[in-house]
Amino acid sequence: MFQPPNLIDLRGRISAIERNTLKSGRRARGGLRAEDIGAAGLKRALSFGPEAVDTRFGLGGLAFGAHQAAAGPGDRTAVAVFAVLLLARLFKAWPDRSALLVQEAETLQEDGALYGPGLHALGLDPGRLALVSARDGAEALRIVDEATRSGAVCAVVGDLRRGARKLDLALTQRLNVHAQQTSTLTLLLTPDLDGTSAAMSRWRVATAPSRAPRRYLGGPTLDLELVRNRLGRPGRWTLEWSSEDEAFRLATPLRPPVVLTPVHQSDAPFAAFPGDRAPGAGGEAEGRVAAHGGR
Amino acid sequence: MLAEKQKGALRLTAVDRTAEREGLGAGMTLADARARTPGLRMVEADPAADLALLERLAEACRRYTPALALHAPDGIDLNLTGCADLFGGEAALLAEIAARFAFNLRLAVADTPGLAYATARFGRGGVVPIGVRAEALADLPIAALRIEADSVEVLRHLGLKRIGQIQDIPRAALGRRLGEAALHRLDEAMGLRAGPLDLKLEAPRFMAQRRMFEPIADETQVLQVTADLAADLVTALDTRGMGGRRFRLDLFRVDGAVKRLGVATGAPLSDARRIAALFAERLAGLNEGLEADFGFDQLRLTAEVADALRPEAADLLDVGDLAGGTEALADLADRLAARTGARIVRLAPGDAHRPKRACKAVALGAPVDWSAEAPARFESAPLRPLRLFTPPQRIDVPMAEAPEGPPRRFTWRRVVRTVVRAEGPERIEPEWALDDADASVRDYYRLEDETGRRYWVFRQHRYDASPAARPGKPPLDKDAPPEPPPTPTWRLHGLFG
Repeated sequence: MFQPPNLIDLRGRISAIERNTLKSGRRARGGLRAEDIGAAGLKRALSFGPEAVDTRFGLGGLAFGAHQAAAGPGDRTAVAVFAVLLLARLFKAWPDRSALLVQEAETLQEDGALYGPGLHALGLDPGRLALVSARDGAEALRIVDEATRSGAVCAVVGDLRRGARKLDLALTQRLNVHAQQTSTLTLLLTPDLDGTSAAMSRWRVATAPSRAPRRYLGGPTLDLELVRNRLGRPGRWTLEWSSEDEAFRLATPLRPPVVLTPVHQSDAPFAAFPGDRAPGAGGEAEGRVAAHGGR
Repeated sequence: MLAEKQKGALRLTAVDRTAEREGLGAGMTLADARARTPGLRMVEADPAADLALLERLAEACRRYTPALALHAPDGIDLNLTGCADLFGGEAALLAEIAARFAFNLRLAVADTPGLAYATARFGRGGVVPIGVRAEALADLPIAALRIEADSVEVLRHLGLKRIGQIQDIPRAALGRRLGEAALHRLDEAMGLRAGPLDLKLEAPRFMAQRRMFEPIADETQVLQVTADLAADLVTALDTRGMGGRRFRLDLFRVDGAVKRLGVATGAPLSDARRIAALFAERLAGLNEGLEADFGFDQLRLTAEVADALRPEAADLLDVGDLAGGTEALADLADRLAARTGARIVRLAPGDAHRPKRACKAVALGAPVDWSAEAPARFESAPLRPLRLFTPPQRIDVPMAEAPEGPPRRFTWRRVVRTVVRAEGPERIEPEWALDDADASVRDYYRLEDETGRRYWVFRQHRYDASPAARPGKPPLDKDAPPEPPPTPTWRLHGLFG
């Protein structure tokens, strides 16, 4: 088990990082130096796929050993898709590990229950995702913390609603400590990004119109805004999930402005869609135009 | 005194000592009793509460022996085989029982349950020495044999009132008069025949207990003793190659109350440290606390359900699921279940293609195999939603807009969604022989609105061409008119993102 001297040592390192990131705004924007990242015990990272995203983090992706937060204001399904796709990436990279998803029982009726064939369709093996329903928000938070501390799974996703209101700096810092002890990737899904948080990164997630040709749906497309990033600069990307690569890729930009033509004729029900273009057009913009959030 | 309605009249069922001195007794009608002794205080009998109290007393008696049986309405059999010496002998044990409980108890210890019953109720009680069964029984009334009242009456008419008087009668003659059952009772009391002790709960196979000289009230002490007990229990389990699935910790309080805690595990467990940790979690999760009061003087840990441990070789096989973290996850699941009651599940493929049945939640230990299922994808787009609503949610589709094909806009949760992309229809037929309420053909569409949100909706068709074809079948949608023209019913079944 964990040795006290070690713990003190680690606490010292973490507080050093806190000083660098929380108190000094300039350092926070500039990101951590490589030695700070190492000192924080962050070694592994989960890559998204596109280099433009991965290089925003000193580690090449979302860090293990810390907790991350993502919010889907007004859309709790988009943020769930984000989490599931990250888990699909993670399962691919670590074929022998599993993950735990904690949900609040009372949200199941409103949000719908996670559906195995749907998870499977997103490229994730549902058998490796353990689910647990908490009676209320406080219990959900306790379970997330407990699971993170136990190290029984390599990732813990907390799909929080009421529990999100109880999040504060102390609690999220403790979650970071526990995540670091076990090198767990803990992801909290919240309704919004209000309130203080010690999350290593904070995301705002929304769905984005599909880029597929004509009326097809194509890969799930998400508008991701990296609002806070303690390992580098924030950013904003529209990413499309590619089931062949099991990775995100930068979505081709939409032609601005987006005009949705109302349909009048019944024999042409789906004319003039934003993604409706000749294949290859706009391909040269990939990787540049879509990444427009960096400051 | 207590009274109850019996045979059409209120009769006394129990009286206190004062009433007894007045000449009242059970079986007397209330009217008689009132006439004889004015000013009686009568309470209506509550047999259910009596039984509950008896059961609680029985639970408290488990401190003396794990094997006991109820003799409703007012007796408890304790099987003291091998137990009495722990308390300094049978007489000392009786004294201890009498001192502990605030009841007027009649106690007896004897070689056989029948003899103990007879001695406690009809004799002087106390310890019947070994080997004097016939003598001990001889003076007791025949009713002490627990034979039917009719038989007692028959014997009384013959002038036979004491057991001693019938012991020497030839069995054949006695059997003709009384029937087999009465003979059995006599044999049981005499120990000629093993009477079944109607055990309330069988003695558990795996059990460990400690009696403390000084009662303990402190939680850490309780946990320390629990850890010791767990070590003992695991030793017992190990010799049989078993692991416990359900554990129970009985904490016997000095005043006779019993606190009972249970934990269950997903897989057979024979690890003392983990068992103790589960009870530590369980204690931490108690709202009311330990309720130790003056402390506990005895703790007992029981493996209520035990299973054979899976051989270690199972680890060598390619189980395929959750390899690596299996044990840690099972451990976590047990701890969560002990503390919060939350259950960890996994999603397994269902046994039918009907959407609702295509997925089911199974316990963590159950095998889950999705490898046989092809990922439901069309190009990169999933064919099945991430979240499923049960039941499907009502949406409003403007009727004129979608006679065939996907809807172009619909209202869900009071927001109008404009559909810009659609895939479908995918027709899903009902499975015959499944519940009839679901027997409709559904055309599923995958829709995307202008913000990129994706929905899984279906239009429902009934099998019946005309309502008359299936009489008595209510329309699925109460709001829809039962007669033609048939309005297609639209529902939202899930969300992709």
